Amino acid sequence: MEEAYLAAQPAAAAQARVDALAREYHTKLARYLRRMLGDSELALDLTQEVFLAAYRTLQRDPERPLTAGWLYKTATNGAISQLRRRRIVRMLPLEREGDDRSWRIDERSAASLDLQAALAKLPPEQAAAIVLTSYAGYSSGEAAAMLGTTPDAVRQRVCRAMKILRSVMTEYT
Amino acid sequence: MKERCARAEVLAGAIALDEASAAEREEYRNHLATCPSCVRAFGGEREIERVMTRVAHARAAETWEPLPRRRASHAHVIPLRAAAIVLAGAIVFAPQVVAVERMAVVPTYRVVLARQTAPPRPAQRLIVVPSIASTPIPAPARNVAAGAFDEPVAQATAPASNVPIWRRDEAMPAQNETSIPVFSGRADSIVMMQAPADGTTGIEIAVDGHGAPVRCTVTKSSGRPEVDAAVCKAAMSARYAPSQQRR
Repeated sequence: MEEAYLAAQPAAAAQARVDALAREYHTKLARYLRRMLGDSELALDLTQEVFLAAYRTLQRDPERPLTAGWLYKTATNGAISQLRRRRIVRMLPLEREGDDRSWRIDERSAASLDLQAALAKLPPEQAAAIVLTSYAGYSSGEAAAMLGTTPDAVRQRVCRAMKILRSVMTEYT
Repeated sequence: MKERCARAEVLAGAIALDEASAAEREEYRNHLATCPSCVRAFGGEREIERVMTRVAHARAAETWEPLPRRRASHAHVIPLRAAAIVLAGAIVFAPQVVAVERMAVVPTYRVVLARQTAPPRPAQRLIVVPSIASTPIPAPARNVAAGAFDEPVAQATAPASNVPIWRRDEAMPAQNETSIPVFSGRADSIVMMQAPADGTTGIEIAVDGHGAPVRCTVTKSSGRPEVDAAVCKAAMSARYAPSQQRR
């Protein structure tokens, strides 16, 4: 009886920490994942999973510090494996291909359309590199830690992503 | 030459992220002077900045505050097998789980939340995890509208996993990874609320062609609206076998 009571404590503590993380990062992660996947439903799904993973991790190891980097890393891994699993990359380039469910009218600016069209053409790792850095605001060093690579590799991926974005921009203007 | 162009990519990336030192910018300019193909591919510093402004604008246009879920246009109804875990931060007895029962005629499953043996304390929480999942969801029946749900659901392939169908009065396993029910290797949702947990909720979930839930209907209330709401909320954040009905 007493044991059960004690066993319940870490769960509550883990829950409280996940709550706090979710309050701060839910929107950011969901936006990041929506860019990556081009699908808001899927993005919300994966966002949920990130916090569920955080919850489980904290249950196993309540002392473990979970940072924004950990959350983004988990989200990125989820997004990349999702994209790979689908093979046919379903990053829909907004309204040009008719994905009207994931993006509201006021979000469909030319810049947003261009970015999404470019992301749809990119391999997931390159898409993650440019979205984590210039979109989510992390440095190449921080992004490298999340992606498990070196800062220079991140820069190179950003450069290739930028090249595609540039070609998309000339294509449509 | 190839190596130099690889280096130029790194430099261009650094410029794009505004992380390049003066020396690196100089190095990039020098490379461009000798390499027309890099000029064509990436452009000079101004051009890189122009392209990256696009990303900044896209980011500024982002207004999505993702809480409500969107609804899809086509849907069919599948029965949900849901289990709920009562996780109490301050309950003396180990909480008990939960029966998943299929009701006879109506395509509905019961969610039975465990009865508590000790009086609840005020700060307890209820976590509902839809366990679509103790066995894999079968492909949805074609003639759903005709109510063809009487075929045994469990004839879908046997669960690979360690996730048992819990029985009432069986003590819940420790809250570790294996105790969270999953569907295709994924657990589905956590919903939190403050509520005493006791009762049965019958629900129906409508699912669209992507497997996203569209609508949750409570077909039998547990008598506690907050529990019904939590079950539905959890069910709505799960993913299901996609509808195979055409629009």
